Amino acid sequence: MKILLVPLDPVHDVAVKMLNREFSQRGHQTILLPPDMKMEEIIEICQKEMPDYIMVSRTLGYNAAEILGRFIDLLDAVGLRKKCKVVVGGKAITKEIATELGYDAGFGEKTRWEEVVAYVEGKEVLTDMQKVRKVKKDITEGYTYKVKDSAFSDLLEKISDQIVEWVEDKTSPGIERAKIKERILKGEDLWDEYLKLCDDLVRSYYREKALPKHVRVITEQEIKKLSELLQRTSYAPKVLRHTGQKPLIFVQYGTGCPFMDAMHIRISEAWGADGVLHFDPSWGARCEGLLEGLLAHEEDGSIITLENLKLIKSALNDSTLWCVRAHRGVNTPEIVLLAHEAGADLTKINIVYGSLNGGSDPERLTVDGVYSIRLAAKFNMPFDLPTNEELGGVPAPKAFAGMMVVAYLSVKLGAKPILKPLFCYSPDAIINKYMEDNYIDYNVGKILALRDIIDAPIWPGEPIGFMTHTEDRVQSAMTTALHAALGKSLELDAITVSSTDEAYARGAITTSARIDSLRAIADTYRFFGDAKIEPTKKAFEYAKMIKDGIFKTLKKVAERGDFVASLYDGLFGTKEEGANPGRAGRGTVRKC
Amino acid sequence: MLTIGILGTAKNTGKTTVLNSVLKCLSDKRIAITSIGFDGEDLDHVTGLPKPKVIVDEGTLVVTSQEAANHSTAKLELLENLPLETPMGRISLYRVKELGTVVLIGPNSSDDLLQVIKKLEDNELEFLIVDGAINRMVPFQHVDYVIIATGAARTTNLDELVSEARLMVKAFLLPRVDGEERMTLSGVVSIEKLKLYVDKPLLIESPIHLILADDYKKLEGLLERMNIAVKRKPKLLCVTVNPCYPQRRVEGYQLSKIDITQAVQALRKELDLTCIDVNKEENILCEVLMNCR
Repeated sequence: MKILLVPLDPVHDVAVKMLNREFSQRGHQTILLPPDMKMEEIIEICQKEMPDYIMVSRTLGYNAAEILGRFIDLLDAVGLRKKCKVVVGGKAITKEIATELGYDAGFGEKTRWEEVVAYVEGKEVLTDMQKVRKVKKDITEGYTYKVKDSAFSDLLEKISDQIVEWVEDKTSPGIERAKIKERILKGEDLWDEYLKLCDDLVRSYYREKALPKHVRVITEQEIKKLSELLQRTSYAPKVLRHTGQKPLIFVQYGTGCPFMDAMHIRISEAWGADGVLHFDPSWGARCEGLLEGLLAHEEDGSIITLENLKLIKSALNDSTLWCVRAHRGVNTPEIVLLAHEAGADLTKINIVYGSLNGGSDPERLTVDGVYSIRLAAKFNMPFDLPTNEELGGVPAPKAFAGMMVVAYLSVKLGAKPILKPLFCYSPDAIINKYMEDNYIDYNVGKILALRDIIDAPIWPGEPIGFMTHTEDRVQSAMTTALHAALGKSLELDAITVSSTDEAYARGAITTSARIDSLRAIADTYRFFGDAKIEPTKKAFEYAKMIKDGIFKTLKKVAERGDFVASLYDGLFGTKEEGANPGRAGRGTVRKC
Repeated sequence: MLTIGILGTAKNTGKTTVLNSVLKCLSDKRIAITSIGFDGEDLDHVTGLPKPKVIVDEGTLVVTSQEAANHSTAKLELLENLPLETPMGRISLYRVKELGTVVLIGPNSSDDLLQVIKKLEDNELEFLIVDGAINRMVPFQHVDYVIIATGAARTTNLDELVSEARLMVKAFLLPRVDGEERMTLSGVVSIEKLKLYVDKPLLIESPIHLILADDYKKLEGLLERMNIAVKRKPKLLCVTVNPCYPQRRVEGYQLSKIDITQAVQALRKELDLTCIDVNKEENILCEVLMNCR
C-alpha cells in the first residue's frame, strides 16, 4: 500500500513517525510529511502521489476540529475523497468525531499500532476480549503450610491440641443451626427447630413477616430489571498487573443493596479486579439466625441470605474469586455453609479477631470457629484470617500470634488458611513511631516475620493502606497504589483495595471512586514492572521484633494452657491495647 | 425532490436548531433527512456541552447508520441497507413509525451524498434535508438549496463575522453558466491561482470550491474585480446567525451568548438576502422555505 502520513499539526509528529517505521518495516511504501505544512501544499502532494491511504495525525483542541474538517473538504473538492481512504488519529479522536469530520476511520488514545496496521492490511485485529483470558486462581496453591521453626511448631501444636480437645464435647446454637440448615437445604422441613434457636428479630421475620429496620424486600420488577441490565453490560477482561501473576487484586463490596453490589462488582471487574469480598451488616454478627429472601438493606453491609448471595453470584464473571466473610459473629458456621451453597470460592474466619474486636464471645466463637473451619475444610474452601484488631490498637505481634494459632489449627483440621496481615498505619505503629520515616519498613517487617515462621499464602488487607487515606481522592488512590506496589514487590498472593471514598463516602461509596484506585494501581504496576521497592535495614529489625513478639505471645498462651481463657485474660491483646472480649453469644455454649 | 443542505461555518453555529426549524416548517410535506456527519448526539464530542436533539415525525424517511438508529427514540422501520460505510458502520434507509428523536450518521462525501440523493428519488419525496457537519461544505455542491448557518461560535468578532458571511453570500450569488467560452479552473481555487487570471473570465466548479480558500479578505477583493461564473451551485436560501457559542473556561466549556442584533442588521443591509437570528425568527425561515420549488 502507498501511505501518506500527515502530521496536520504545528509541531507534533511522533505518532506518524512511529507509524512510518511500522509501515515501512512491513513493506509498505510510505511518504512522511513534516509538521506545519500548508494544507493546500498537502493536497497538491496527495494529487501528485495518489496514495491508497492518507493518515492524518492531530491533537484535538478547539478549532482543530475545523482544521481537520477543512482538510476533508479540500480532498473532496479536488475529487480525491473517494479515491483513497482518509484516516485521522490523535489523543482525543473517537469514532464519533471521525464520523462528524467525515473521515473513513478514527483512531484514539488507546489504539495499538497493530490495530492501525490491521485496518490498512484489511486483517482482523484481536480485540481485548479475545486477547486477555482471565482464569480463576487458587491462592493457596503451592504452599506447604510447613512451620519453619520447631520452637514455634511446638507451641502451636500444644495450643491447637488444647483447643481441639476443649471444643470436643461442646456445641452452640450457631452450630446447631448450621446442622439444621444443612438438612433444610436438602429438602427437610425443620424450620420450627431452626427458629427455636434464633433471636426474636429473626423469628418475627419468618413468623410475622416483620422486617428489621432499614430492610426491605426486593420486588420482582427490580429483579427483572437487574437481569436485563446485567445482560446488557459487557466488557473486555482486564489485567491490572503489567508483569507477573501476583498479587491478585480484591475489592470489597457491601452497599446494602444487592443490585448496587452487582454493578459495583461488574465495574470492578471491568477495571481489572480479580476478586471481590462480601461485607454484611454488623448486626448480622450479633443476631442469632439468618434471614431469607432477596433483601435490601438501606445501611452499610449487604444482608446474607442464600437468595442475595445467589443473585450476586449471577453477576460475577467466571474468573472472579468470591469471598463471603463469616469470621466474627454468632452465625459463622451457617454463613460458611451458605457461602459454599451459593458457590463462593473463599470465606473468612478468625476466632481471635472475632472475639477481641468483632464483638463475639471468645468461648462461643472458639466453639463455632472450630466447627466452621471443619466445614470450610469439608467444602475445600480456603479462608483468610483477618488481623484487624491491629486497627483497634493491638500490636501486630499479638494479632499475628492469634492468626498463627488459628492458621495452625486450620491446617491441622485439613483446611487452607490465608494469612491476612494489615498494610496499615496502625495506632501501635504511630505510638511507637515505627512508620515515622516511611510506610515501607514496618509493613515489610510484618511479611518477613510471617514468612520466617510458616510457608503460607499472604494477602494483606483489608483494605491496604488503612489509615493512610484522606478525603482527597487523588491522595487516596496514590497511597492505595503505592501499597499495592509494595505488595507486588514482596510478591504477595493477593491484596484488598478500597475505593478512594471508602473512608469518607458519607453513605454508599461511588463506582468512580472504585475506578480511581484500580486505575492508579494499573499505572503503578506499569511504572514498577518487575522492579522492587527497597526497604531500609529497619525492616529487618522490625521483622525480628515482630517474630519475637509472636513467639512471646504464643509462649504465654501455651503456658496458660487454656486458649479461651487466654482470650479473656488479654494474652492476645489487653483491653488497654484495644482488645475487648465480645459479648455476643456469651453463655450459650453447652455440652453436647 | 428538492434537496436542502444546512451548511455551518464552524461547530455550534446552530445547524441542528435550523434543521429542527426546517423540519417544523415542512411538517406537512413528504420529507427525508440525513447528515453528512454525526448529528443528534446528547453531548458535543469536543466541548461536552449538551446539544439540541433532532426530532422527526411519523412518515419521515431517515438515512442513518444502524448503531445510530438504535440510539434513536423514534421508532424506525428498516427499508433498505445502502452500500455506504462510515467509521460508525453502514448506512441504511429507515421510515419513522412513531415520533421521536433520531441520531443521524449519513453519507460523508460528495459522491456518497449523490448516491443517497439518487436512491431517494424513487420515493416520491418533496424534500431531502441534509444537515451539515462541523465546517464541512463540499458535499453541498450537489444540493438544490443551502442555508448558511453562522454565528458567534465561528468568531465573536462581529465585523469579521459579517464580512465572512458577506463573502460567502457573494460567492453563492455568482452566475451559473453553461457552455460559455471561459477559462476553466477545476478543484479548489486558491487565491494564488485566481491572481494568475485576474483579467480572464473564469469558470469554476461551484461557489464552495472558491470559499474553501482561507483568506476571505483577499478573496472578496478579487471577487469584486473578476468575472467568475460557476458550473453548478445550490441556491442560497438564507443566512442564519446563532448568538450562542461555547466559551472556554478554566474547566471545559460553557455555553455563552453575545448580542448579534447588530450583525444581523448589518447583513440585512449589505446583502439582498434574508438573514435571521436562529433562535427567534423561525416564522421567517418558514416563509423562505415556502419559496423553494
